[in-house]
Amino acid sequence: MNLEAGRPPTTVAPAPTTQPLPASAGTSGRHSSPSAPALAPSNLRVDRVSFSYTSTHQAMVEAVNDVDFILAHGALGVLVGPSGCGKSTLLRLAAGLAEPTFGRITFGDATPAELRKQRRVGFAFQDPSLLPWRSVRRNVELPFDLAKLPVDTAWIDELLDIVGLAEWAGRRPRELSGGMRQRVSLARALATKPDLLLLDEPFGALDELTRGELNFELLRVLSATKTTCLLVTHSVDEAALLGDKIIVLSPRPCSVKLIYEVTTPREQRRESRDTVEFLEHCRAVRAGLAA
Amino acid sequence: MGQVTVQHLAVASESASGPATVGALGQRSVCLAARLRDPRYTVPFISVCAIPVLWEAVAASNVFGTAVVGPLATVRELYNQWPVLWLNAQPTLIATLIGAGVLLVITAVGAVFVAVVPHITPALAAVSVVIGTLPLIILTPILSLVVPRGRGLVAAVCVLAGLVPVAAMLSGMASVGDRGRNELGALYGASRLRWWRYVGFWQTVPVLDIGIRAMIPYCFLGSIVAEWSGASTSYGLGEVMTNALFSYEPPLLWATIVMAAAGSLGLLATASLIMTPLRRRAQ
Repeated sequence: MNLEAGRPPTTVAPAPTTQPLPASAGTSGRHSSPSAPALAPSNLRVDRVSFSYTSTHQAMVEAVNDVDFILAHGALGVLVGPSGCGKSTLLRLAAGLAEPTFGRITFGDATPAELRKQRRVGFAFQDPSLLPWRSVRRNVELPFDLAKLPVDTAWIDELLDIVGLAEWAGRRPRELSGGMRQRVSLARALATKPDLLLLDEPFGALDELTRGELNFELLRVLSATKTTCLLVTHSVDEAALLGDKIIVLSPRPCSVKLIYEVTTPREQRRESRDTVEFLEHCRAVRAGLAA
Repeated sequence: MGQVTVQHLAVASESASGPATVGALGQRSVCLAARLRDPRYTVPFISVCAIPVLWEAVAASNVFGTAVVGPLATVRELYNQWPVLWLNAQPTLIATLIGAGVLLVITAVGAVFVAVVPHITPALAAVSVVIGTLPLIILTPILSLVVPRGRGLVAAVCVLAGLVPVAAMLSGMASVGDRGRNELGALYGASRLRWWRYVGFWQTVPVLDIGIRAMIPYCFLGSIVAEWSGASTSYGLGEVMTNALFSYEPPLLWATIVMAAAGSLGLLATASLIMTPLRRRAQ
């Protein structure tokens, strides 16, 4: 499996693993200030970003207020916050689908708009947004069609295999379950081998079992591809299980309340689910949300 | 019941054209029987069968005097007057096809425009409401002062009549699709036109299908109304209707009405033949 084929060279350190902990933190997690470590070339930097828009009633709505954090290259950041706080808006800003009113977002030296032009960003929407007139395979190939790129057939085969849909490649989305559709959406987001993957509650509508399996599948894929990922979720457990860095947001307009770093190595996450350590991560995030 | 029909057909046709035809006929019969048991098809089927029965009953009752001619007499008149009716149906059909063609071009250009400039959607919705509210067909007498009478004028009125469903269709096209699908193009740096080719067009196919099916009868109606108003020079089903009315020939009038209905249904069936595979693919 050659997941690195065709990817631009990277010179950055891998995702954070075990780190020294302050006394106040859990056994393998730590709180950090928003203005964290030194910039590496491909870090995702959200630099004091604010965003407001005019609603249909002509009222000014402030959705994001002075959000500031850095996500290391290859790390998985999780945005957690109350419903409607602006998590998805933040994700859209990171994708360049909207422009911040103040502040800036950069990935290495590139702005989100440049990232999009270079097809280095992948986005899985809350709703899978699959095209019913295309087969599963053709849905995954869609980014190539839209970006006017030749289809990387071998990679698509591999992706379908990774998400467990190789046998369903010729089927239409209506023949798939909700979990399968989300997996197609995830495969589509990964089709162009993005450097930055943005996932907007991709597993929100799934049952517990499928969700758990897909969580580990996602971790495996991200570790293999060393893709930086920003994920939105409502589930504290999911955040503690997946996130290398958990960014707890306040109610609208969202601002960073807490940044919590999980230092448990990814390969140990599956086993860590029933440990005190994992519960400690959850407790810290819940405390951050409630504060 | 369906099984009995199959067996009868099978036995009857085996002797005539061999086992292959028998199989095909049998399958078709089973399919038809199954469809007729489905309430979605039963009600329209019964309604269609009931119309001529009711029509004949009304004609036989003589409540409306000689003005109502029964279906049998109408069919007889249709048969007797076929050369005249067909001669007059041709210009009406041609004008309708020209009008429908112009409307299809308007739809295609409008659809691309809506996809490429999505900001016009609110304005388009407002325009479609205005067009839908104004009976543009009433402009026919004015048009006849400007455009020379003949096929061009009939087609122009036909376009005016068909603009109502076209405007509604364009407005509907602008509002289909979820945000995710609509943002896919921007995400992968695709031009609006490229996005429309791969995503936009296909997601509007159901609206396009309904719109075109609604447009065809409007076009036919436009042509007939134009001919009533004297837009054609001498031929046309509208002309025949007017003449039959003023010379009090109810059988001919009814035969013309049946001819017009058949023409409209024929055009609708043609549109369905084109749109159904497209709609099935899109869904």
